[in-house]
Amino acid sequence: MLRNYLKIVLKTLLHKKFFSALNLFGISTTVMIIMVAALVFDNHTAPRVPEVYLDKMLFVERVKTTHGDDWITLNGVGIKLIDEYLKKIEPRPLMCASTSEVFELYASGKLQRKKMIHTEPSFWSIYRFTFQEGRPFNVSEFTQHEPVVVISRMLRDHFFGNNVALGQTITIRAKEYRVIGVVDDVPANCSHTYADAWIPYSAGAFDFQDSGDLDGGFSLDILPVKGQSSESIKMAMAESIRRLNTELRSSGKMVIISGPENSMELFARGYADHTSFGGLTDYLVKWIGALLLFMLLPSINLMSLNITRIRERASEMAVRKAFGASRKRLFGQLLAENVILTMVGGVIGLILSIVVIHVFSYQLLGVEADQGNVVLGIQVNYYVFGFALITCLVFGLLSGVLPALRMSKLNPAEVLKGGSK
Amino acid sequence: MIKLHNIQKVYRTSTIETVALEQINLEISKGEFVSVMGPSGCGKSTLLNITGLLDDPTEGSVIIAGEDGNGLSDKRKAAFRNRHIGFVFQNFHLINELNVLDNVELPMLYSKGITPTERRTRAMKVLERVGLSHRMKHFPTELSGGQSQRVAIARAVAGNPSIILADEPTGNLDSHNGEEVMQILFDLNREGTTIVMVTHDEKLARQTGRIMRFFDGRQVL
Ligand SMILES: Nc1ncnc2c1ncn2[C@@H]1O[C@H](COP(=O)(O)OP(=O)(O)O)[C@@H](O)[C@H]1O
Ligand SMILES: [Mg+2]
Repeated sequence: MLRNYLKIVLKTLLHKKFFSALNLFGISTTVMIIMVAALVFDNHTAPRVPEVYLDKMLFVERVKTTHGDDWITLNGVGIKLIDEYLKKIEPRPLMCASTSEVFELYASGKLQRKKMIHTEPSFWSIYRFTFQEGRPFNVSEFTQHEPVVVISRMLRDHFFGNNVALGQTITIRAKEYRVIGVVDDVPANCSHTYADAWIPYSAGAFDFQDSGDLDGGFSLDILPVKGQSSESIKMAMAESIRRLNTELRSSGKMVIISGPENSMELFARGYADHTSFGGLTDYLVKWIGALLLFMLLPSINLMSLNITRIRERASEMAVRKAFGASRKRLFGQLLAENVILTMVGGVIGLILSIVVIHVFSYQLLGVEADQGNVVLGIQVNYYVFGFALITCLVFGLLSGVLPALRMSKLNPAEVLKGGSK
Repeated sequence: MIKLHNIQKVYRTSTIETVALEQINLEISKGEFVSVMGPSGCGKSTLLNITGLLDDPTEGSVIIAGEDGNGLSDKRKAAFRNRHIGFVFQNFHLINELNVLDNVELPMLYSKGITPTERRTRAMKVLERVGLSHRMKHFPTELSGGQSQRVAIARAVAGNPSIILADEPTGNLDSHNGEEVMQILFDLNREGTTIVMVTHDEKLARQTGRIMRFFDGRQVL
């Protein structure tokens, strides 16, 4: 029976090339968009090592300063703003300020650009790195401005091969650091933690930043403590900023910060407007709305196509009935056809989505496909794959069941009745 | 073979009621070749469809091949049609997506206990019989009207039914092709198949065993 179904699907597919192409295009586009959306969303918001609390975290990444009516500046966050205002909230969540720098490395026969993160000890509590050797830097090292560094396994192998790394010094951007820890490589699509070297910002960052500025190159990562809500943190920080702005009134300046935003809002802002803050939920709504519309178009298209297609086959269905197909059997055939067609479209969509993710990895995931140790293949995880498959099935059934039911109930006598009327 | 008792068929739509058949009582014996005649709209097609268990009468009973048709479930009716009845339609109703051979094999897809090879052999045999072996791999759109109707007859007889119900099988054909189709039907009848055929052609009807005339939903002769 299944063989017959497959046969008729194939035959229908092959003989209605235009229709099939259109139909498959509809299904595969839908699946692709869902897949890509799910992957992108997953990539930006799903907790993973070392960003294991990503779903609970908040971030302040941008500061907008208006200087009277004259001009507006948009920047990262300055240490002064972090230390004297943002960190002064009660109860105090876990917070770390960090900034990053690029350094060059001649490895595997080419010059590679690597990232180093300047941060503070709480970074190691907020994020969960796997230490191969040694330990993270601590508060005393931080306050003493000690030039210590935690490096990735890749960097250890590069500098020391099989030799001992701990206690040795390495030179990054013409400065020497003592290695105190080695961690597992971080996937390049962990946007908050990806780097190959991590040092106390007190030991290097102020070579290129001013500690007395309200805006600068830092961002603040926040992990609420147990029982603390994101809302309360947002409100407390808004209060701090209000206090700052009263102090600034005489200078004519005014400061606005982005967020604090959760990873989803951060993600939404990335796709919305980099320059405006606030109302990020609006962006999210817009973004999701656009996505839904995008998804819906091919689906609606598919449904109407299906209805037309099945109607066009009234004569075939009536003939099958006349020659012995029961209602159930016809229904089954139509449904099977639809599901198979959808599945084929689903597989094409899946392949398309992987291609799209690779080609547009920078725009979608914020990393180049060949950067660092990202393995984009594993991004297509079981969860997303299952999601896409179920979506295919739902589409297949939705677009198939109703017309199939209608068709299988058709009265063959009316369709077949020949003769002059 | 076929016995219709007190058949009435009323088509009801929201606005009108059409009485298509009224007080039909008739009996057709095994091996008969019966022509059904009458003006357009007098209920011939309706009669054929009810006889073939494709449509239910509003009143009355259909006894066919010893089975009370009205009492059967959808599934049993389908199985019954598959085993006992072959349909031929004026408009051929071949499936355009399938080639000639697949079209002829179609009824056997729904029969129990026929292997794919057997299906193929039988389909090829009936195609040979209607003189279309050389068109097996062609598609319906590539056939002439006469050829299409011969394929349709091959399809109707492939499953070896005891009854053929043909609704104006020559209605869309020129006289030459019409005669060819009739010849096949006469041959089948000679071999024992019971045939009920709707036709407008008085000359053809006279060549069959019996003519039943209808007018306005009633049998007049
Ligand atoms: N599905 C239907 N709904 C309403 N009226 C119908 C339907 N089918 C047939 N009729 C009516 O029933 C009568 C008999 O139709 P039909 O059996 O097709 O006649 P014939 O085949 O003799 O031309 C006609 O008046 C026709 O209009
Ligand atoms: Mg008719």
